Amino acid sequence: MHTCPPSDFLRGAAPRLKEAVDALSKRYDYISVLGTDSFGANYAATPGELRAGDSNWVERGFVFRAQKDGVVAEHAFNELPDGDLSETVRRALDPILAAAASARRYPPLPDEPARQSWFGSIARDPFTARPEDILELLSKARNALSGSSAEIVYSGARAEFMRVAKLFLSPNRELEQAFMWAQAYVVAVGKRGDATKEDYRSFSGLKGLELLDEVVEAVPDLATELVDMLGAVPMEPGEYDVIMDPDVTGTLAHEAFGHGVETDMFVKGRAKAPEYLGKPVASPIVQMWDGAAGVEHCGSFLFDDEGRLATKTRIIENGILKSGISDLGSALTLGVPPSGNGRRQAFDHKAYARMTNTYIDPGSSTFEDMLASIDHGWLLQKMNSGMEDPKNWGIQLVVMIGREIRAGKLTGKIASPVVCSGYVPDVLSAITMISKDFELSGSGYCGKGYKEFVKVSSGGPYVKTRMRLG
Amino acid sequence: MLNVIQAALRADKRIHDWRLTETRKRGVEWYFSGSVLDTARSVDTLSYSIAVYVDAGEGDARTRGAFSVSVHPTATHAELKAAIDRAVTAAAGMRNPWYPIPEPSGAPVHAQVASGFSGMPLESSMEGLRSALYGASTVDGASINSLELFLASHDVRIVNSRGLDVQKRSYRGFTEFIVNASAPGKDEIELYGDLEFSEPDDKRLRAAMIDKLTQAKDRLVAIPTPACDGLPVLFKGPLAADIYEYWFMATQAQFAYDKTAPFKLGDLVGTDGGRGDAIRLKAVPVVAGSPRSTPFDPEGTALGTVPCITDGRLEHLVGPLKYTHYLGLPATGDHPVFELDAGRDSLERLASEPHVEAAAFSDFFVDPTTGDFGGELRLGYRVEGGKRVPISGGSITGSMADNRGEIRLSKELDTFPGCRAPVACLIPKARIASVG
Repeated sequence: MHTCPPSDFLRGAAPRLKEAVDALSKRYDYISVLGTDSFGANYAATPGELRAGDSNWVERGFVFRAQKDGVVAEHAFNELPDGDLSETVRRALDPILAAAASARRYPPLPDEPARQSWFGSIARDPFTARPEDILELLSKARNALSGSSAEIVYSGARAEFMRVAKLFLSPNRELEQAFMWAQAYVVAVGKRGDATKEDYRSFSGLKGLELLDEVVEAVPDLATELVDMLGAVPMEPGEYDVIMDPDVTGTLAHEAFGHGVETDMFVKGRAKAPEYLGKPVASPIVQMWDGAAGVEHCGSFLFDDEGRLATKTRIIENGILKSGISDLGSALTLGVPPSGNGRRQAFDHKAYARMTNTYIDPGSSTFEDMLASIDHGWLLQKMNSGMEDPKNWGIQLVVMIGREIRAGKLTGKIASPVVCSGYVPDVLSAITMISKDFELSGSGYCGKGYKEFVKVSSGGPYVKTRMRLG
Repeated sequence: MLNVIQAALRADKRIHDWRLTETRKRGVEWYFSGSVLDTARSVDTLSYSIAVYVDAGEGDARTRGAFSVSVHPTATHAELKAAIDRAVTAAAGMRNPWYPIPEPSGAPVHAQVASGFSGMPLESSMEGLRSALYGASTVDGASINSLELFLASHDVRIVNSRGLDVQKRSYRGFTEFIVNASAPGKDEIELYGDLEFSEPDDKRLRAAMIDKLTQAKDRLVAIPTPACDGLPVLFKGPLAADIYEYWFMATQAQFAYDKTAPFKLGDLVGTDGGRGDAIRLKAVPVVAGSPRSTPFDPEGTALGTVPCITDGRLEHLVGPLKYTHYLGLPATGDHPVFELDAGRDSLERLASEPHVEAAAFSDFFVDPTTGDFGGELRLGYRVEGGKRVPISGGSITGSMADNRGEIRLSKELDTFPGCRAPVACLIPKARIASVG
């Protein structure tokens, strides 16, 4: 195993940052700094060329957070000028605080003593591998895909590797972490007559180069599936029994309830969930969680971007809504313990209450039993996108594949794409069967609305429910 | 730092070409809950991006590899050297068909994208923007729940190994807002709105807010989407712009080179005289009010106007120099925005026939390859017999391919972040999933 090393840069900057924090602690009621130093690379094989470059997630910088008389302000920057750093930061923070004199007063931000570090490990370091070897493997997967059917007009494969390093300092806290995540995709486009369809396989995890071992293996199945999709029909709009695959289940959990229990939405009155705390919102067989602790996937870490240690939150227990997930500000406002869900897209973005790893627990059914229980319905596979509606509990999931089920069997008929919608409590209450399987997926990213992207994972088992399809 | 990086690149004999981009961003951010400022932030960052190009072989067999790395302003000389080494090693491992990088077009370009924000402290401009947005903060029971406001200046300089040296200052404003509507006996509802802007255009900001507040008020009284079989769908505002992006994507050289574009040069994208309006789309460098406007592309290529789709036919592609070169097409640069010509009929006329008007989706998508579009309807209107009834729920799905040559565009134009284009389009064939 290869242990991710700490950031030399952050360790080198730490004494100056600590000195600045100590100096500024005399001026402000609260002061902290988050430093980031994350690097990574993208590799892609396409029909006409190979592409590679630094990842868009690369960042190195600092954000100082100050509180004075209840008002909270931040200044983000990425240069370390010579001289007194505390004076540079003060000159930036003071005008913001002065201009925000009429802003909301938060309770005092906590600063309990903590000193911890975590350095994740992977099997094979992608940053010591030769880039051309990574590209060759991706090309091999792509070529195999293109060669498997004359109807496949495009194929591409790409991989991304990131090493994340962060340092959090406040008068009483010193936290450090470094870990790696990886993701890969194989994508194909098929064409038959006027019909054009696309399909993919994704791979992700707190992994290194070993992730690519999974890529080539997935090609035959993907090729067969895409060719099947070329015969897809439009979905006949209506309400159906459905089985969601683990990826779709995870996105349902993420979009339906995950966003709806981000407690900054509670504070703004943007969520319906507070009215339902302690009340049934789902079938009694549903257990739902979120946490950077508890499972190891793309949403895992030791501490969040506000210096709070990771936890694991039980959101739904036996169908009852139990708890939300919080950033520091909303936790203080609501008087609940921070859950370690304050996350930023990067050092130069604001922290919000965000998900980490969100999932539904496995149940006791088998996939075969679930299939057999449906007279006419659809197996929903391949997430395309999802969107939350925490205030009004609407749900939208767009999946790329609906497989028809009749008399307990897959008929081979495919609908694509399929827009799945419904009222969240109706969809969750209609869950009657949950399989024993469990899979997490962390490819892609999660936005707050249409921005502020962070790495998360979601997943769970196969779930049988009822939804409106179109 | 720029000079240090340039010197390192020039001194490295393994590199055949290079490009260096320096970006200074200064921004102010205000976050409101209701009308109360919740948090204020400032951002001051400097970033460098290096692209190195390494060639192999000669003549027709010549190949080129490229790799882009980020260099932070805090990088040491050793880190800079390591970054360049990493980029050179990776680029040398790629053997793509050779392509050029942009040559200087003459004297160095120092451009300022025209903006009313220039010469004003960002903080002062923010207060004006806040006033404009909150000036229309209530409409009959609808109000602003929360609002985020961003304004930043971007100073960008691009230099390359061929002597190109261009720079510009531009401004990007963005606001995201959530509006609520409530009434006794009804659950409060919300809608999402956002706007990108490059000008302190109070009128435009206020109009966007009033539109969204009005939509929220309508969503409050919306009925579940009824059966609407066979009705065409009218897409307005930003949703119409999402539809137009499908055609703009079809003009992208990279898309064509990857063989994922839905059309080839010479194909009929729309109609050349049928029921739908003729599509006439020009790639342009500037749309007034759009923060995406730029005099040159990310490689430094100066941008002009390119008539990509004329009378419904795809005639020219645009994109980074690499892809136009690969396709043997004239160099155009990578355009950020486009103009789409007006249609024949007024919006009033388009809306005079029975239809469903789509106003807000959970997340509307238009797939640029398959042409599939759709989303869950958060607010729409069923318009028939002189009545315009708000509807909500269910979904609308369809295919651009099924509607080729039949889409009608409004005569009225509007400005969107990515284009200047008809304010609405009418799509005749779509599937509308009702509620219940």
